This record gives sequence, C-alpha cells and structure tokens, in this order.
Amino acid sequence: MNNNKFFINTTKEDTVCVLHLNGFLDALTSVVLEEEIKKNVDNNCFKIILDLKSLTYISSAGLGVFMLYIEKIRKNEGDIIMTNLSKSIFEVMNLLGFDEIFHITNTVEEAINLFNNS
Amino acid sequence: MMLDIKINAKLEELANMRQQIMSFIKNVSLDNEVANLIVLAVDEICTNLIKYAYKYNQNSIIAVLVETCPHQIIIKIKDSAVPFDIRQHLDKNICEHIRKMVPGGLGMPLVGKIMDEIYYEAKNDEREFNVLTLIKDI
Repeated sequence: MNNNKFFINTTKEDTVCVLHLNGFLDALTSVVLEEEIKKNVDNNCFKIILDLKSLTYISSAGLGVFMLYIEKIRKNEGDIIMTNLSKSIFEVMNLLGFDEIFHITNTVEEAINLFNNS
Repeated sequence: MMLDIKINAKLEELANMRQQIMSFIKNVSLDNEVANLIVLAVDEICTNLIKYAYKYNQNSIIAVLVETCPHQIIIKIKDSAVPFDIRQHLDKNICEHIRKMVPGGLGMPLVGKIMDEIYYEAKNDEREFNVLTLIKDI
C-alpha cells in the first residue's frame, strides 16, 4: 500500500462542486487539496462538497486547508459541506470542534439537498 | 515490546513511519480510532520538527521509539534541533480559535487533546538529544 498517495476527483452537480478525496491527507499532500479548492473558488464555485468516503487519513495540515478559503466562500453565499466521514476521520474533527463549524452529512445527496434548500 | 524508527527530516518519510507505528500498535487490542489518534499525534510532532525545528534539513534525524505496556503506549521522540517545549503550545481552548476560522496552529493542540501525559527534556551538555515523551492510557 502506498500511503503517500492522495488524489481528488472533482465532479459538478449544477452549481455545486463535489470534491471526492482519496487516500492520505497530511502535511505533504495537503497542497493538492489547497490547489483544488483554490481552483474551484477562482472559477466562482462557492458551493463545495468534500466527499471523504475514500479518505483514509487526515492530519492538522489537511484540516487547516478546510479553513483557508471558508471566509471567502461564505462571503460569496457559499459553504463547504463534508460528507461520508469514517469514524476515525470524524473523531479527529470532533476533537477540534470542526463538527460545530462545518455542516456534516451522511451522503453527497444530503449535502446537495442542503445547498438546494438553503 | 518496542519499535525503534529513525527517519530523515523530510515530509516524504512520514507515511512510512505512520504505517510502521500503526502495524506495531495493532498488536495491542486497540480500537482503530484510538490507534489512528496515536499515529496522528506522532505525525503532528514529527511534521513540526521537520518544518520548524529542522527547517526541512533532510540530513537531520528524528528517532521515534514506541513501547507498548499493558495499560499504556509510551512514545519517545528524539531530535537534536534547538530545544522547543511543545507543552507551551497545547492550548486547550483551540475550539475557540477554530470558531474564529483561523487556519494553522492546530497540530500541537491536537496532540494535547489526544495524549494523556506529555513530558519534555531539552538537550544539554550531558544529553545530546531533546526527548519528548507522549503517553496514552489504553
């Protein structure tokens, strides 16, 4: 197993960008996520879903990226919603109180509905 | 049982180190989530050493010793950089910091929340390395 591996598949559902995160998000790989979120924000996509179904590991470097663009995104009436968290990933977010400042849903569909109904 | 790892101060080495520690502590009956948090704490400390203490000097070495005891996992992390006592940066009010959406500075508070005891011995004339000891009750 190559646990340096991290990649993102991005899909679009109308005005919502869904970033499917795969692998290990740490100090080495967090720049990949930073660039992908920046690219979407620069393209005026402010409704972002982070699908963490295939994310195996996250460190504080990855969590820091979630906060990097959130102010700009919310100023533009968007948000970041996280979905499909494993127990381990949720545990890390919960320790830092991320579950209080980010919406977390069980599925991508729920996250899309949350955007559509807001 | 004891695991002894030495890595160069480069971020590319972290993944292999995490994998070795995870395999080792899985010999103890631990929840996956707890094992993941222990690995995460070591990752955060080593990341900090690589970035800020060694400033990415790849020739520098970090030694990680992991010992499993019946009710504790004890981790010693040794480095030879300028001493830095992380215990001054374990701010337990990190949730307030996060509510204000300030990125960065999350690693050390995370370590503080994960581990049960943290000790630090700075290098001196008699001791060649700084030694950070992390203890997790299991």
